[in-house]
Amino acid sequence: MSTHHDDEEPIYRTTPKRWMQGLLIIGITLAIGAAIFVPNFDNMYANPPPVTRLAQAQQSQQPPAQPAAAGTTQIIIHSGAAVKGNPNFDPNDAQVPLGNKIVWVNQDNVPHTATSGTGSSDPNSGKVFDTTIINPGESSKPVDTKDMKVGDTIAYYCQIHPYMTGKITITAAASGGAASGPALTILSGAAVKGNPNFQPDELTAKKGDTIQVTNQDNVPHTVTSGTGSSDPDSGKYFDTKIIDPSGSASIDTSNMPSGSYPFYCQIHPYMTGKITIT
Amino acid sequence: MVLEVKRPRPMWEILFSTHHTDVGLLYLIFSITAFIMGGALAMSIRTELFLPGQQLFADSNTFHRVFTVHGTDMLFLWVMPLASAFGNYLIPIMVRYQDMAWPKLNAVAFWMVPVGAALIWMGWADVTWNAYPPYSIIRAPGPAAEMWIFGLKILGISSVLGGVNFVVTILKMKHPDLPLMKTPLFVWAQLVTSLMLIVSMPTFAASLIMLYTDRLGVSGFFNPAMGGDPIAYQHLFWFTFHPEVYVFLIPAVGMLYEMIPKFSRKPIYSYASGVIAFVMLAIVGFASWAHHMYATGMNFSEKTVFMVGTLAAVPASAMHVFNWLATMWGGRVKFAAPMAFTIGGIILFFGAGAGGIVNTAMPLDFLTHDSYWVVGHMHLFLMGLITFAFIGFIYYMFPFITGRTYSEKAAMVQFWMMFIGVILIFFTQHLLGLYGQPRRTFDYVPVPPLIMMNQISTFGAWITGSAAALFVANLVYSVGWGKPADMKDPFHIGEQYYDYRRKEPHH
Repeated sequence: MSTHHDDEEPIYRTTPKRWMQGLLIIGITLAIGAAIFVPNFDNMYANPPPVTRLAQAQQSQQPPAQPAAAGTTQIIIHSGAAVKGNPNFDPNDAQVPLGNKIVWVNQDNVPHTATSGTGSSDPNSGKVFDTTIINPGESSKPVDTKDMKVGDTIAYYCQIHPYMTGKITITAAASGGAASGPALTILSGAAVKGNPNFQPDELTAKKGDTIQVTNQDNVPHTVTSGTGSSDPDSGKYFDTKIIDPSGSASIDTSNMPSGSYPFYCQIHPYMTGKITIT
Repeated sequence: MVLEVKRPRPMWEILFSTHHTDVGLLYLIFSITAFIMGGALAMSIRTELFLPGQQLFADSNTFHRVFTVHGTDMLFLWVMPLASAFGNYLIPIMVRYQDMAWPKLNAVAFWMVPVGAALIWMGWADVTWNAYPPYSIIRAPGPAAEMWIFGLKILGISSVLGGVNFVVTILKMKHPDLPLMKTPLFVWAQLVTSLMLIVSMPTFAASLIMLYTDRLGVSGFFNPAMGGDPIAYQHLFWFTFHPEVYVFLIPAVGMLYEMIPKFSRKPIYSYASGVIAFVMLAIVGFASWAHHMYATGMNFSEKTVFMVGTLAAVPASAMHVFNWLATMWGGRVKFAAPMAFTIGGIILFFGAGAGGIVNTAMPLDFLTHDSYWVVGHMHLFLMGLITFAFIGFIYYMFPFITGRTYSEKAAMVQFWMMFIGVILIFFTQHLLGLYGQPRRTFDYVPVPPLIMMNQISTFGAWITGSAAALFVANLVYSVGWGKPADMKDPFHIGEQYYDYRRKEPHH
């Protein structure tokens, strides 16, 4: 390539000073990077995927499900709730039938509380109820509403993140009878083998009760009587068919003699449970 | 920053240069930095597993985020850029052209890599390097997962641009008097790798977009709740990334083909069989992707096809190994550090290959699937052969790049520490897998065999980590203060070395 004698040219090698300058450029670049990501480490991991918010939005457009009397009202603390502006308590304005117990389920990855009052400066803060700290992934202890009055509206907030606020409204207790009944919940994550699936796993109901089934998972499930697909009696007593994610179904027990009925999910046969009719 | 022939240039001139050796230098410094950062994460992972239960990380989520960034970093920011680094240095020299075919495109391809790297390192996604749905769609928290997706997207585009540039440089810019069958096997390695990248990468690029729109909820390709199929993603993913295994491997093989004849002072035993083995690997690399998916419920005939397809890679790999052994046989071998890493790499490659045959035999695969066996196997490949070849080649190219010599004594100490360390880490992990420890876990059952083997593995990791620290110290010291090298024959083996005058930019 070159026509002259290159051996006679001097060769300049890197001096220690120049090399240190080079290392400094790398070091400063990495330090700037670290200064950005270290404080944001948790923020980068705070938002659930948009597809889940879409599912929640569709869910809230539907009329709110009738809460079962003498049952439990669940209020979800969404994943990412700790970030200001994100959805936090769901439902934000819960209609709680008098006498129901309220349970807050913390799906976020930081602790929260649900404390009555409008904020920490409210002199009545925590007077009506205070769940104290609900750790990530856990549920609060049930808050009893039997001392409250119909029509009461109680504001509450999170003591750790005071911008997270919600309220509960006490409604008349739903009339008893055939419509009321125990609730069976398909837990979020139930489709993964080994995870908890049905809650309660063994449910006791009176003959004539209607069991309300709610699918909190994000894949479809069924509740089908029998021990599995090879059971000749599979689906004989009840079969909800496919319950879509966030959907619900009911099981009528009026034609079921007392006894115990194993059930399973046709899509995920390792999800099993039992209903006992008394 | 390094050896200059006529006059030292300002730093920014090197930084924004399009000359092939300057871009190669940037790739090299970038990938060594990524190696050290990813290695630090590996150390923290092994330290966490030294004892059962929670040790170092706050929770299992943090653990998932750390090993995701470790895996992504090591594959896409260490292995691939390093192969590009030496491709940039050597391909134009070897095909006798003044530069890469498109120097500016070459610089663009490099500068996309730090952008992708920043997205991955800022976000700390927890999707694992596979990002399998449904988790990556419906659960993985953002914006980390989105940043990971876009980071990989950018790295993918960069490697396709780099690949196109290599293919055109080799096939079109080659000196007319130089037939392709007379180019060094290193050129063949880069050619085959680049072609594989161009063929395989678009599939993953498409599936990344599908993953992202699935996360947004506007599509449901892989979302079972919307009628999608998560297994389809695995097919698309492995259609790119099984060939990609050979994209990681083949440049390392090409580097061994450069070093072995030089340090054995003998020509390559069979040039043609090397070329044939490269082409065979490239072809069978596309016929084995679903061997990662035996446990997804494929039928027997599908599994058989992919088992045979995978085993077809064995003859090709064996051809390379026998070629190396036959080249060394009867040669006057000089055991300098590059050659020590080469031979160590070949030994570990044999171990990795033997384990691979167990994995690909489908009845045995069900025993090892998703266990620590897989971790041990794939790391033995990536760390054993590929990283050993890369470190050896960094030492081999060190005089060319810097004009100085590295400390041979420190390099040999590093070699023995790494060789012993890697055996302790990854052979033990094979056994851990057979004892039933699942991969990607933060905790394990506290029974004596598992505790003992995890501790041996962690101990090996600490040895290897110390060796890596020695490696960096050796490089940092020798770049600034090393003895000036004899630029004609720096290793005193009486073989031709590369033309250092190429480092003077012509534009």
